Formats: sequence, C-alpha cells, structure tokens
Amino acid sequence: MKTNDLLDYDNIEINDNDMAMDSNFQRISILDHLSNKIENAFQLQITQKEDLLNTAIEEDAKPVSIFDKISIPEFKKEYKSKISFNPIQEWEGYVVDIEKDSFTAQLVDITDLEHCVTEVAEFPILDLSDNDIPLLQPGAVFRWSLGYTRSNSGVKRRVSQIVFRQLPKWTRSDIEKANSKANKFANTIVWE
Amino acid sequence: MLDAPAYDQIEVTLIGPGFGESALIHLGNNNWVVIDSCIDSNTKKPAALAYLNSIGVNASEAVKLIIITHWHDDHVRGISDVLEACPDALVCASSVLSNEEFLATVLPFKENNLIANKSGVEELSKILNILEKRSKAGVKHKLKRAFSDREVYRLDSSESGHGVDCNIWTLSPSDKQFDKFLVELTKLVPEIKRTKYRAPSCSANHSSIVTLIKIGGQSFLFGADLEETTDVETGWSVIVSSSILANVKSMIFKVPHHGSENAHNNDVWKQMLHGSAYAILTPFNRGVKKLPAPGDVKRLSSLTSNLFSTSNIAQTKSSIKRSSAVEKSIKETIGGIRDLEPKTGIIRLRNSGSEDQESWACELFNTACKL
Repeated sequence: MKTNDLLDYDNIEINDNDMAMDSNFQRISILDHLSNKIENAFQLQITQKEDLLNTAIEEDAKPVSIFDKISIPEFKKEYKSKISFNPIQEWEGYVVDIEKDSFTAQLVDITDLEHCVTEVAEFPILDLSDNDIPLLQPGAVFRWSLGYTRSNSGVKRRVSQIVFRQLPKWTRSDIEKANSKANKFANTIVWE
Repeated sequence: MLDAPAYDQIEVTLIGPGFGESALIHLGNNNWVVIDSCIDSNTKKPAALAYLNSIGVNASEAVKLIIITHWHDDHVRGISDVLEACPDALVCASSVLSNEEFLATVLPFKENNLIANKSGVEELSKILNILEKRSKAGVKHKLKRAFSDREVYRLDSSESGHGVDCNIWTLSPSDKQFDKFLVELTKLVPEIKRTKYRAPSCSANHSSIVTLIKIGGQSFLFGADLEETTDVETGWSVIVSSSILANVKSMIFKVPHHGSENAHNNDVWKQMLHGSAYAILTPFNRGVKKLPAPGDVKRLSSLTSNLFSTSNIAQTKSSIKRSSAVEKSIKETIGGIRDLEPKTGIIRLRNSGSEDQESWACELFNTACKL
C-alpha cells in the first residue's frame, strides 16, 4: 500500500474548456475552475486514503494513527495562470424592466462621469453568468465593462462582461434613520 | 428667438423629453404655472427655468403655482431647483408627500451613495428639505395637497390681464387611488439584511395629479401619467364622471403617459375635449417599449388632426462618439444602445389674446414635431 504519494498536479488534466471563457464573453472563470478541479482531486485522494485506513482498522482491530497511513499532500509545483483585464469602457447599470429573455437597463457612463451621460440598452438574460441570475431584479445594480483580456501566452481578446454588484445590505440603522427623517418631515411640513 | 407672451395672451408650453417633461402655462398678466420638471439636454438644468429666462420672464416673481404630479424621476428631475427659484409659488403635490409611511419607505434609498444611477428619491429628499425649511420659517398655506375635484388656485379677473377668471383644479388622485398606492408601496419596503438596490419604479402613475385649468370659456387638461384601470373609482373613469367637468371641453390636452394605450379612455376624448383639440405629448425612451408606439400614434391621430410630440422617438440612437473597438463590442454583444435623454424639444401654443381667445397658433422648437 502506498501511503506517502503526493498529489500529482501534472495529472490534473487541463483541457480546452478550462481555458475558454463562457459564451458571449461572460465572466472569466479559468482560475475558479482550476481551483475547483484541484480541490476535487485533493478531496478524492483524501477519501481514498480514509477508505484504506478504515479497512486497516477493521483488519487489525487495533488503533492506528492516521499519520501512519496518510501524509498531507504537498504542492509538487505551483500552477501559475494569469489573465489580465484592461477595461476600455465601463457603465454602471440598473435593471429597469425584465422580460422573458431580456432585461432593460439604464446605464451611466462611468468612464466619463463628468458629462453624466445616461443611456439605455437591452441585454439578453442568456449572457448572464449563473451566479448573477438570482441577482436579476428591478433596481439591481451591475457593472458592464468592455475591454481586452491578455493571457500568459500573450493571447489578446476583446471581451464584454457583466457583473452584478453585491452592494452592502440594508441595516437596522439605515431603516431607523429613514423612519426618523420621515417622522420629522411628516410633522414639520405644514400642508393645507 | 423666443419672446414673452403679451399680458392678455394665454400660453401652454410643453418641454421634453431631455430627462422627463415639464409644462408651463401663462394664465395672463405674467402669472405662470409650472407642472413637473425636466432637465434640458443641452444645459443639464431645469428646462422650465431656462425657458422662462430665455423669454425674459423672472421666474421668482412670475411663477405662482408649481404642481408636482407624481414622484417618478422623469417628472421631478430638477423640480427642487424650480422650487428654490420660485420662493413665493404655491406648491401643490399629491398627499403621498405628506404621508409618513411613504416617506419611510423611500427615504432609505436616498442613502445609497454607492450607486451612480441616481433615482427620483434624491430629488424628493431635496424637495422635502425645502418644504421643511419653508414651514419652519412660518410660510403657511403655501403647500396644498391635491385630490379629486379640488380647486387649488384662483386668479381673479381683475388681475388676469384679459378680464376673465382663472381657476385651477386637481382631478386626482381619488381616495381609492391613494389607498391603492400605499398598498403597492409595501412591496418596496427595504428589508434589513437584504442587498441594497436602486429604488425601483412602482405604480406611482395611478396616483398622478390630473390638472384642469379654466380661463374664462377656455379650458386645458393635463393628464400627467395617469393610467386607466378596470376599477371605475380609479384611473380616468372616475375623472370622466367628475361633476367639475360637466360641459367643459378642453382645447389643449397633455396626453397622459406619453400616449400609451394603457392611459387611454375613449370617453375622455368624447366628453372632455374639443373635436379639434391640440393633443401634445412627450415621448418615453426608458422601458422595453418606447412610447408612443406606432399603434399609439395611429390611434391618437384618428382622434385629432393636431397631434404633436416634443421629439421623434425614432431618432434615439446613442449620440455619443466612442472608439471603434467599443462601438464594435456594443454591436456584437447587445446590438446597440440608445440615448435615454434625447434632445429637448418645445411645443408652444398661444392664443390671440383677449380679442380672440379661441384662436390658437402652434410653434415647434428644436426636436418637436407633428405626428
């Protein structure tokens, strides 16, 4: 029984799909994807070793230290993959209307905030990443960026990406402050 | 280019879209009414103030009444500047502005400084601060709640310049409309621990203020964004049955809700308007459906030969020049984007003064056009 083998990163297969971006230039997920693959491989190896350990315990019916049987995997080599993104145009958008296949958003050009240009556009819901779909609701705020990605190998691509913003959450203090203001306005403004 | 109306001339001017719409009415003798506010696409300032300034009218003295029809940001943008510039004007707004429940619901959205897309809540907050300051200064009886069939302003014949009385009524919201609005509002209440978002739109259109202005034998109807409903106690149905309107047929109609079908009521055209009435509107470019739709134009054109818009909605492709790489990416990903704020246009209607009050002339400026 081999008990001291290392997690072999050379045998984690990286295929074309890993290196490709989501359809229609959506979120770049290469690093996340590889990270998940490495974690899965690690988990698989631990599970296999635990099975072996349990078998040994049953056979010998005597306590066995887990450190006798397995070793903590070490990184044999560090995998480095970086993709840089340089935006050339960005908007902040908020969702105005949602239809079956698309949503309409009002956009503020944040590349040129000085002129405060406001535009409107319709986006296919299919273009959103899975993580962003639950965030799609009227009033939801997102960032739409156009720009270039450059990989380690120097490959340059023109991309468009939409990322919904995870704004801070409403707090009790926000609500109490608003209630207090509302009470003040309602009591001090005199209407006929 | 622009001149002030004669003291005995009545004028109705509609400005839009820029960002929203604004109507100005010269009652006579330099007494003006402003209904809603929009931002001029060139100056980025309130179009009503820019217009009055351009024709040599001092807004601080001349504006006697400001009506805020509802709190959608295409109707209130810049209204706080109008209020500041006209300190003596009577302010008329829907009861929601004095409703604590409404204020408590919308004010949390004002604190959302992380968002570049500003909503009407910022404007609402400014309005409230101005009104509070006035109330504290003891300026009483300058704020009027609007509701069905309420006379909110009167200008005596001795002061009107043309020798006839002017009366202004609000025809909505009805009590039931107001109650329904508050129920609708509960859907917007922010929840603690929920991710912040920009203030979404709600059905504020149903609580819009419809305004009727009567000057002697002439009358003018301003429909704001009021939509029709299936409930006879709300929408346009309740207005058509108003006792104030018995035998009153308006010569000018600000078409409600940018000409949309859901704001249409045939009885309004049959009972409340002259056969040759001028129908004026501003287009709307923000939603999935642009308004007026071709079908809306067809329907309205069949009802009057005098249909005008402040802008041609078809000409709304983004006017911003961007690099070819950006333009190409936009085209590849979503096809295109369009200006939210098409150029501001002006429709101006003036009568011939006291000699012939029923004879009207229409002038179109900038992007305004006949439909």
